[in-house]
Amino acid sequence: MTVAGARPLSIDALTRRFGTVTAVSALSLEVRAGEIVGFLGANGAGKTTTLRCASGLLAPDAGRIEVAGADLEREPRVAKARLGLVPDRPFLYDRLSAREFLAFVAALYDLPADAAARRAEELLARLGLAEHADRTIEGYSLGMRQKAAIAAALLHSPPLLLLDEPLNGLDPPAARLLKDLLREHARAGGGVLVSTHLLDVAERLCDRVVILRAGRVVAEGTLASLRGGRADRSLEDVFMELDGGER
Amino acid sequence: MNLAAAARLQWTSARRAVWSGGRPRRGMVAIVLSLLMAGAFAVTFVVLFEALESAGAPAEARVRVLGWAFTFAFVLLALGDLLTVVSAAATAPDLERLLAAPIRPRELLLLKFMDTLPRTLGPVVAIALPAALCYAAANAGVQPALAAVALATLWAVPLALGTALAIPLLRVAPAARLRESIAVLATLAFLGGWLANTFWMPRLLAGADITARLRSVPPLPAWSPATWAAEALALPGERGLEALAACVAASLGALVLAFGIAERMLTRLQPAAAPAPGTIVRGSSRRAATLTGAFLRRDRALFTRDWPVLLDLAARLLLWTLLPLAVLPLTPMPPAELVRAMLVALTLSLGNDIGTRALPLERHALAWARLSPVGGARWLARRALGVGALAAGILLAASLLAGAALRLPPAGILDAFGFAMPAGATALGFGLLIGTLLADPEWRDPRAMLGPGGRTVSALVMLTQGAVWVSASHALGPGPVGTGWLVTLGFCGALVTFVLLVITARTLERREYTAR
Repeated sequence: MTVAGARPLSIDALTRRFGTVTAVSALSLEVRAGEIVGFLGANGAGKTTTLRCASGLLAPDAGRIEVAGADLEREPRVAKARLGLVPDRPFLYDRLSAREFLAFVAALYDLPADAAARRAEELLARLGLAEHADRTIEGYSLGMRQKAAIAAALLHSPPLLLLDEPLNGLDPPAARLLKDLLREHARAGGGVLVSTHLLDVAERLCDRVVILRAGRVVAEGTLASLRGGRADRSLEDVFMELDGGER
Repeated sequence: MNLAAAARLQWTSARRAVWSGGRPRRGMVAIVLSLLMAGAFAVTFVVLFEALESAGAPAEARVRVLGWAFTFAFVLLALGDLLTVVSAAATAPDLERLLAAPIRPRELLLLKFMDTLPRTLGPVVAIALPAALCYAAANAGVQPALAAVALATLWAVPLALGTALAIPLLRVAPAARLRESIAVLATLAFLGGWLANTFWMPRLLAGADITARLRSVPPLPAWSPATWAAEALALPGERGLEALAACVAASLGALVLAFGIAERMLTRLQPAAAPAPGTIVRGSSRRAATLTGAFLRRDRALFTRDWPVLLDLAARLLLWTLLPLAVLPLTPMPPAELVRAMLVALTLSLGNDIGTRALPLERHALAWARLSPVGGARWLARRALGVGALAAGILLAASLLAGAALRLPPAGILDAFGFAMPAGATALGFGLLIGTLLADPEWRDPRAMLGPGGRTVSALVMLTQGAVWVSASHALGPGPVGTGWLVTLGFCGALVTFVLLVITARTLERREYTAR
């Protein structure tokens, strides 16, 4: 999973504009091996744009992105093979079953057939999709669709996992399972960047958080450092202060 | 409910869909298309009614022809309105909010009628209005008020009956499945109307003895609002008044029925959220041996499981292939040239219906072309290979069938196939490019995977291409094209297709996927 000596994600001075609006401005961040980083910010802060730039779905206007040592602009195929993305709304084929979809994704990432099939079955079973795996995805609930997207992102065991609001639509057991999967991924040496609105989730799951406001990083660090030595302050308190106070 | 405020809001929203910020918007394309369609139908009706008048056809025969035109419009309207109501229930983002609001079901239905007015009024403006106007122009004594009642009947009855049928159906069947089934029925109705218009109309008008041939036109169904509308507009005296009364009664009765059903059942409707149940398929988690194999396996599943798309495709391929036969009474063609013309027409459909849909069929999952390490160029190459193989198979089958039907020798069939191949390749090239540039990934109707603008561009490009290839075929003479020309055309076709694919690949590589 890991690429020796390389950080799973390194973003340097990323800027992305949409017309006259600057969604992300000179943003730099890193995700280290074995680390889960929470990506926090109000609506429109630039979280999704950053994740989409980091996954190659959007081209940056300026800045440099490296995924597990591979430059996304100069070596896009190498970089993309080293990351998995769970988007805010999954990219699925409604007329394929989850099993067929994972087989197709395995071909996209050129995974060995036997190992990929075993991994797909393992993920389907762990995510509770095994008994629905032969049903076409059009019949899936929101949570099941999210699980199929998570399975696709984990299938090739990438060094970097990017997740955009991954708990959307998941019931409590599935949310718990996802958190376990992310911790396992980090323990195995992978890096995780997860954007979420759920501050309590970030507080319990993440080793470090990055707080974004108007496309810029306004705070970054471990929970303890962000609390500034005051154990009574929650992440919510910190977030509200940084995001402009009580609203 | 404040009806005036609601109507004002709908009007503002409809106006902004056509024109806002000082420039035309997407709704303008629909208006232009409706007007173009109305113009095309008007030309047909002018020719038809003038031919009937100059042949001295009796009034009854003219009413019969008008009645059949109204019946065609009525059937299309009935299916279209049923589809509109189901779509409004299945996909409208505001239905849940409206159901939760403190308004009566009949008020909600009224709001939905206002909301969908541009869609439900379109076929009346495009088909029935030109028929009525052309009839009035050719036959003196038609009163505008009667024409207005007739047209209002053709709008109100299908809409009210569609609503009355859709609401109970939506309670027992998933909206997505229902929508697909109705879309298929609409396709078949259009196919029937098109075949009648293409083969029956020219033969009806050809030659001198038009009155005798009019006797073969089947009588109008007695209990049809379309018949009553035609009779109210065209028949004088008591019979006209009776038909007028029937029109008014049918409209009021259908509206009362629709509002009654809405009052009883609308609040118990399961709106948009209810997904299609999904189908159990036998798939394997083992990947295909090659990337190309994986694409072909996926494409086969996507096409064969989307049966509304498949049926619509088959209907369109058939219609386009048969198109040159329609002009035969006017422009006779030798068999070899006719087969070439039929195959060129088929290639237009391959480009317009397969090429343009190949990438939009993937909807938002096309993002994998940029997200995965495959990349846009390799993605397109695999996709082009799949649609190319499908198109070549269809072209070969059509060459064999048309060649055998017109008794061409095997060498002649091969010659026609060789001529059609570069036409098919360029059509697919244009189709893939247009599909990449102008797709609507949120499409709901398989006939509208491109937005209205995209469909217009596609139709214009394909018609231009068709004109070029048919002219080339005509210039090459009535016999076989010959090896020299086939090689030349093949080289030119391959070159153009290659350039188009390179542009498409670059477009796909650079395409960005913003949050939805």
